[in-house]
Amino acid sequence: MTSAYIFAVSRHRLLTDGDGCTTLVTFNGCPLRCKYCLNKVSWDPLKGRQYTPESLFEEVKIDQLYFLATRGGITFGGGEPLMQAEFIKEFRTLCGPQWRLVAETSLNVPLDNVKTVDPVLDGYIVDIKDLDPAIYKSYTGIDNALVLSNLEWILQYGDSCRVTVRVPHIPNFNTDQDVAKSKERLKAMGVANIDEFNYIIR
Amino acid sequence: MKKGKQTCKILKEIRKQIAEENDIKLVIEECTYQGDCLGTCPKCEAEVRYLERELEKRQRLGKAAIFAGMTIGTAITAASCGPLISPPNGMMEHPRDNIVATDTIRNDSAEEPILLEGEIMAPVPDTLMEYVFEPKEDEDRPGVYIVVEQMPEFPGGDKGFHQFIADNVKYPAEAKEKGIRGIVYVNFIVEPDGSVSDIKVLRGIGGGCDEEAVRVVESMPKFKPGMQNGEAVRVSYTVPVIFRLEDKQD
Repeated sequence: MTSAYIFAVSRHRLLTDGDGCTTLVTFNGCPLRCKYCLNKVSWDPLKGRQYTPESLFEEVKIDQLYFLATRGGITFGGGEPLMQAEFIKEFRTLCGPQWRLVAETSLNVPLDNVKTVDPVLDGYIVDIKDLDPAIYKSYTGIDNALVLSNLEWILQYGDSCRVTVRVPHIPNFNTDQDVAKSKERLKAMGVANIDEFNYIIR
Repeated sequence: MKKGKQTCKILKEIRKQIAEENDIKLVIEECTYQGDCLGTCPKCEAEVRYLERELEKRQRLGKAAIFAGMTIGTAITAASCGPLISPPNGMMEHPRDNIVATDTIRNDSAEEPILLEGEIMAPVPDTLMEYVFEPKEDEDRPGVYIVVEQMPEFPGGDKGFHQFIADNVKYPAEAKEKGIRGIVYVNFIVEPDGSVSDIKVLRGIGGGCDEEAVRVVESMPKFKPGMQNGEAVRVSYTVPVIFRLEDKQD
């Protein structure tokens, strides 16, 4: 039985993390330790409420009509949703092909996880942090080699329109020049949708 | 709760559109509730269930449910290759100053803990075990971790660290003269006693800034060490040391 810990199910998000009306499902467990992480509760992989794909589907299908009417669906976040690739794959068999399933991910997971989940996802929102390995490491604590190789794989084997890459200005960690360099490199890799923004430290 | 009222209004509009598209009679009364609104309420939910039942009836008669042309506000476009995060106010560009943004998609209800203290946690099934936290070891340096349960912490946290850097960095004359500015990334090991060792520059900017960054890191007070399974361990840590040259120099 596949199951996962989920720390929140947030309904009726309108145009915030994917097209249409979406429900955000946030998994526990994350390989990163971002300095300005907002959901630090997700760092503990065994906190929250335990769900199976079936029990999650039972809970979120209450908004099916909104999903179908607005081309919305579920945005999986976290934590790192791609650590739960099997869970998402099984969830797709339950919800059918019409719901939009999007993952908000760091892509810092083994390629096998990406290969498992890729056929069932309609979109990725990739929080890339910064492409420079030193900046990435200082902000997240770990290396970004997997992020880049996974992004290349997705762009090579899938439709690049499915991918939105968020490039943040991270106070005290990167500069405007660093962000510009990241964007240039992403464009050269074939990323069509780039979302540049500021982190706001609360 | 303004946001809730706004959500309620949009969802009501969606229900109205579904009803119109599918010839379903739906009488929507104006909501007079003045208190906090979560965006939905039993009355709203009842309307959704009513629409579902009516659509099912139609499907049994061989009529397909119609959802064509359904939009939220004006921001959804029919573009086949647009960003997944729609810009505010229907803008298609992303001027960064106008974007209210956070690191990772914020879960609005994250502040409310789901599992209360003392609550008994369900048993962990086998398939979950692979996700249980495992520390990551530095491949090049055995015995040195890069991620542990509790990462090392500078006295005063990140704020304290940035203040220490700002107070102690002396701008090298050469860098000042050449207008060199930027961030030097310095890696080191935080030892179990909180001291730092094996300091090296991962990415430098020259002009004497790299050496100055190393000097400041060497002079840092002891960290609260990284902890794994209740024990202090050696952890690789990288920090940014910022060299900010004011535009107006004497």
